[in-house]
Amino acid sequence: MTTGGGSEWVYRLLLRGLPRHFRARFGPDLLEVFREQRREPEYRGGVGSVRFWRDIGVDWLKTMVAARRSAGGVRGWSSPREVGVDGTWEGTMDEIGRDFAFAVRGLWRAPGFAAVAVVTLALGIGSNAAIFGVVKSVLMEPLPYGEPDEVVTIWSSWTGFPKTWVSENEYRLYLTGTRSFEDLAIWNENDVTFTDPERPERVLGAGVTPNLVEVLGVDMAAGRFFTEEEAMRADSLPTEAIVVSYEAWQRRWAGAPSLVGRSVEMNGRLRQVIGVLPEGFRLPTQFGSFQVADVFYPRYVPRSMVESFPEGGGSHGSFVVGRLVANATPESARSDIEAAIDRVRSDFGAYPPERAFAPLLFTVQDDVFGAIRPALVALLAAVGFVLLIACANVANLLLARGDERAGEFAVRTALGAGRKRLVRQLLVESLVLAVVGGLGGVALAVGGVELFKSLNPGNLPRIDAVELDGGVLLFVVAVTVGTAFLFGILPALGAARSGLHDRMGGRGEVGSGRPGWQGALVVTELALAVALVVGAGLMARTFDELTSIEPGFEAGRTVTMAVSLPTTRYPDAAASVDFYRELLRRVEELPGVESASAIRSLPLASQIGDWGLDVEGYDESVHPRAAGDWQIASPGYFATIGIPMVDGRDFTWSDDAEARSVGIVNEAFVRRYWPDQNPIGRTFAMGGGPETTVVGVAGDVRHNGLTAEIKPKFYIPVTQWSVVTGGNPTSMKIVARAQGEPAALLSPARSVVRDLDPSLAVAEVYTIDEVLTAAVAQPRFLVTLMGVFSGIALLLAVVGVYGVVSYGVRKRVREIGIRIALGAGQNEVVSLMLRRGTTMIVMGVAAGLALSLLMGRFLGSLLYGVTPTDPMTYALVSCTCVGVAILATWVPSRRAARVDPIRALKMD
Amino acid sequence: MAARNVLPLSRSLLHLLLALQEGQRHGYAVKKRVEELSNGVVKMGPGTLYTTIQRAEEQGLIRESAERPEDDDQSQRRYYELTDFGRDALASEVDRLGHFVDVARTALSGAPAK
Repeated sequence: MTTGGGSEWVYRLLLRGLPRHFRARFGPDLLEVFREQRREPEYRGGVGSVRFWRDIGVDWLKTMVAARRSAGGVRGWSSPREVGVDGTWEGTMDEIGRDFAFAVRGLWRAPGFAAVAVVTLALGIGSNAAIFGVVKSVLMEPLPYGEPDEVVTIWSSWTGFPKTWVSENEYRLYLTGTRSFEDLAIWNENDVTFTDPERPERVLGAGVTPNLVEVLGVDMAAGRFFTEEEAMRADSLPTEAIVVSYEAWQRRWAGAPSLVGRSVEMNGRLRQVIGVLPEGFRLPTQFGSFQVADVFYPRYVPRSMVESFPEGGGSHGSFVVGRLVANATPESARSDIEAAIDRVRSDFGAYPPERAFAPLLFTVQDDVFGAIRPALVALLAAVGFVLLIACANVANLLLARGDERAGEFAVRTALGAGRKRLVRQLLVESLVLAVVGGLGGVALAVGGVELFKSLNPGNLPRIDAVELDGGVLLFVVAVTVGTAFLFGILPALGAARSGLHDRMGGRGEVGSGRPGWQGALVVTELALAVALVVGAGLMARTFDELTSIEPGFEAGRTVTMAVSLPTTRYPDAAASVDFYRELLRRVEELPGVESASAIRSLPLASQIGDWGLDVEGYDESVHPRAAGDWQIASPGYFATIGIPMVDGRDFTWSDDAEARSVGIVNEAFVRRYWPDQNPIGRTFAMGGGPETTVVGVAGDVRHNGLTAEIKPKFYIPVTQWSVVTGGNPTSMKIVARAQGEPAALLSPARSVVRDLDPSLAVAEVYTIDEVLTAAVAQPRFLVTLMGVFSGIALLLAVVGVYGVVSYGVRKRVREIGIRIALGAGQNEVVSLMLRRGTTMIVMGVAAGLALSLLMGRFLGSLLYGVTPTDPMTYALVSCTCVGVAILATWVPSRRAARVDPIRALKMD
Repeated sequence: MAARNVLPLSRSLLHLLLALQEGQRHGYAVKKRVEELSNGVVKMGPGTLYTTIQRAEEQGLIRESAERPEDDDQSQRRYYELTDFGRDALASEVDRLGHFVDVARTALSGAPAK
């Protein structure tokens, strides 16, 4: 909604509410000014849109009143016979316009009632607008790829790895052995460093096949993407070509147009920038992650099937994305790749059954949003409940007000107002309340979205893009009108139905004060609120369970940062080990540092995969193949991060390349491969490498997530990594333990790296407490929002209970007075009043618990360590809700007991 | 009708007359000019603009002009101009405000109020 064109019809509709004479004279002029105003710069963009409609709304309300006043004749509401005599649509619209002006003035005269109703509605509409805004940006906007419905991602699953990388061999198999794909692209991710000494920066890089942009259907922002030729000869070219992200272009080169064609230093070598990807481009795996690839370099993979397919499929470390051919569906493509895997099973004996390998295929939309969708749907349901409760509350207020205005309605009926006319008048009043509430709601939503962003659950895709745009405003308009009808129709019909003659007498008759509808509404409200509180309670239990999981290490007082070394300057393991050893020595010398160490993959901060092993004494002919998650550690790592050594010793710097090859394993490793045996002195070998002797056993650590299974893991000393695998450990995380405040170490530790090698960039600098906090970010986010919404819901429901009971007391003052005069004691009166309230409460809470049971299973995927029917939660919520509601009943009941019988009986 | 009968002018009416005393304008041009004259303080939405115009017309302060500028090709646009009465009313209102400002200045500068 950037021009007037898309939204003009809304204004045309608003104009219909203005008096006919005014509209007939100025209609086209109003529209023209509306259009011009819409184009003004201050109303551009999402926030501008909100401001625009707020201003237009306020202007419209003022006009409603002013245009009528100016018409000269009609002031206040007129006799129903007087208007609409022509019976035309125009006449009716004019009458409605009059109703509006009347409603505005009527509410102005009852500010207490209006304020409570408006605030209630604003809470309901505002929370819906905010959550809808998030859902719309996150789930409903298509991903920024061409024809995103055709884009699919392919993954693998194994025992212990429900969703993991694909191997290059599998990619070549899918490329050649299937018919469902127009094309498939493959990439892997790596840390790279812009080694320009002026401004070193470590960023995420991706090695991609040149067809990536066609597969994803993306146009370059500048320059071009790689050619097949460039990918094939990448290593032999004097300057390798790279493509950068739009964001890196802006951040690092201030969007300079001359960047394309320029040479930049990356990983110690010059590369030529040949293109820039469009703004907001992300690889399909990076929508929910903090780290987004900023550099792309070509990767060559032959487009032919391998001659002999390895048993395990080869090394799994890549991501695959494909575009479906026109007549393929995700289901057909899935069976297509499964069939291809079955063929290599029979042809090459690949994927033995005990490893439970299976290929996975998702539409990119499901892949990106699948994890967050249940949470957002739960929130959407929660705010829906809040809105329903708000409606029930306002309906109750209107019912009560309707009773008070019974005399007014009776007079109007006597003067000839038809029932339809009265219902319409009352619905218009509701609409005015809803519109004002809606405006307040929009304001609340603006704040709410900011709150939402600040609570960012970490893996919420596109959270930055959330804004309240035209679509959200349209939603608010629809909700507002729907709401007005929902809470207005009952009281309107009720008021119009009540007969003339029992009203004009006007004497508060001794009676029960209309229990029916009001009671039903309160029961409904309570039921909805209880269901929400149960949901919030279950989330709170989940959060509690998650935060009480022992990660296996001691997070307090530790900091971490990532350093990777370019192989141009650190060509072999000896150079890298020397660097890290010196770096750790200098960090340990910093004041306030207790110890410092290095590790390949930090638990809970990055994913770890496994490596095939030959384990001494372990018989693979009877058991599944041996494998373990692999780590590279420096001496002192276990003590620094606080992982207990269960047995044996830690590495030392004397475990060097010349010494015997040693390793440390975790407890899960011992349980799996050497149960009930002493692991110290036993050996294993990494896929054909030299024998490694176990010198120690370390405690188990949660690595791939707080709730992920703990798998066998082994640690190789950084000093021996090249001996065991021939690799060069260039990319390590530094972990340091502080004596005091850990954050104080971050800046001096950075300086140490800079002093040692100014071209190195430091990244992922944080305290390990922050890592732990991020691991529970999504449940925390859900529990916070569910808590807020269920709190609002319970508050509104309790206000509803209070309102109905105290209204009942007011209506029955005469009766109570008589009872007291006849000798009823205080307690009798209180219990009489409490009885009705308690019945409502018990019914409401019971209905709420039933509703929770029904809805619990939808929450299932969001819960951990607690069942959707957790009796503890149900009991606690019931007690709380009943307690609070009884309190709300007791307060007005006490008032009843203090009624003075003389005054009550004298009352009119 | 004597000019005094319509005084004091409301804020939007005053700005409307002020914008039109420079010559005839159409609705949106009035709105923009009013925003300029008031340094952006007085912002009229379409409805407020035309209820003000309507009121001013009813009170005889302004009228639709019979002629329109030649360079405007949007024939359906309505132009408004001040009537003589409107001009008088504006002058009286400005006098009245001027007097008020004088009194207020004197009071604020510390002279005893009369």
